Amino acid sequence: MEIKGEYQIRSSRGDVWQALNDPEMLKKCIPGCESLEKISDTELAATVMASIGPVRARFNTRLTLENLNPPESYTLVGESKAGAAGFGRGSADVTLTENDDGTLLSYVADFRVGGKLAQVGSRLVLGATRKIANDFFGNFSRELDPGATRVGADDAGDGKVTPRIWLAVAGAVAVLLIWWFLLR
Amino acid sequence: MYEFNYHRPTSLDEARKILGDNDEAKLLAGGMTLLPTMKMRLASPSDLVDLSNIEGLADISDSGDAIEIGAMVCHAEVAASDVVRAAIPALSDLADSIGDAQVRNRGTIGGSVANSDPAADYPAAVLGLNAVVKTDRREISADDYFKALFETALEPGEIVISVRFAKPERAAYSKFPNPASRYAVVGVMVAETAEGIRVAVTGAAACAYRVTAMEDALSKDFSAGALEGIAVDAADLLSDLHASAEYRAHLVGVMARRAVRQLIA
Repeated sequence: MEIKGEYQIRSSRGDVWQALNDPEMLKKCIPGCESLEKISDTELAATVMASIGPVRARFNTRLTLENLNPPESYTLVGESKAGAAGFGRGSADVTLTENDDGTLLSYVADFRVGGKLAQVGSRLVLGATRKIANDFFGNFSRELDPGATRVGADDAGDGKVTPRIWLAVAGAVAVLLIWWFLLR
Repeated sequence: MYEFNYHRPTSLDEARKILGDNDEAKLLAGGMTLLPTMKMRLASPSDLVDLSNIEGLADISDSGDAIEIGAMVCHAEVAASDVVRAAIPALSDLADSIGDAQVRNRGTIGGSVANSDPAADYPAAVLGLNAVVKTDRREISADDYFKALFETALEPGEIVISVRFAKPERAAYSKFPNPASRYAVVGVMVAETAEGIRVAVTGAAACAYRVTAMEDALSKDFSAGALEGIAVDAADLLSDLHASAEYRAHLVGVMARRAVRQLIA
């Protein structure tokens, strides 16, 4: 199961890269995120209360940045354990490409669940991941610009560019955060 | 097992009060999803409010042009009901195809509809037959009810009372079951209702949805052939180890044609 996304951002690649590093903003926008701390330059620890359908549980998740190649690309890796129920692991390759309109952010994410979680919950992982990502995008865009619209759904040239950066970046992060806790 | 308080109120007012007093309380119908989730520690409600002792939630009635099924009626009762069989045989068949005998004797229509599992069978019936979900606060039409994955128009603490199905001219449900769980990998309800042809799909996407292209085609020509060539977009469909999104998209067409053939035969 793969989730892919691509976002055109009218902002410099350096700015987009910088935007990836604001734990406070991510915390605000990840649905159910209770805390998100930077442990080191490449590690984040998050506590997320996942609430989807019958599932309502708190997950401790560790995010790691690997294959760092600033300001062009990296791999986000996340792991979460749900006690006896199993574990989830996800990764996303995020790439920033400069073009005439600014920066193109693309990500390819992959995720897996293991243990009992995989036995009973694998059929819901993709749907749950999409849902949280959508919720997250919505939160994030409204946080930065109350009039923001979803990428791909709006016209060019309306000046609502900055939110896209965040949307995209945060999207990648959200997608990552998701599977560790969404595994049900 | 971790601790929680178990309540079995005898009235809706009492149930509402318990819900209001406890933020982390959950309603319990048949428990076919909630209890396994709790056992896996993926939910830990402080209080369970069992609806089984509230009067008036477990009746099946026929009002002439519609039947009403109480929220706490289990699948086996729907399948065995002469009232349902006479009015909407497709609904009897659907209920009879859910899970296994244990699930059919515990799981309820209200629980299924409130939970809105993407692979549950009842959502296809509710949407395909243009049913009305009656709660302790209001009536919600099927088209406004299913929102997203496990997400419905229900507000926190809102209690489903019954589901009212207007009797269709004809209806058929065809599903491709997971051979182990009998969940719908894809299930399609095709119905000719007073408001026109409706085609509702469950199992394929995050929640039940209608395929308007198929409804339009069947309105002009009610035959399986009319559905040939109608492409189902796989982009937003679910993908798991049982079936890819593309396979599910294909199955939507196959199940829809099978349902139509049942109605013509």
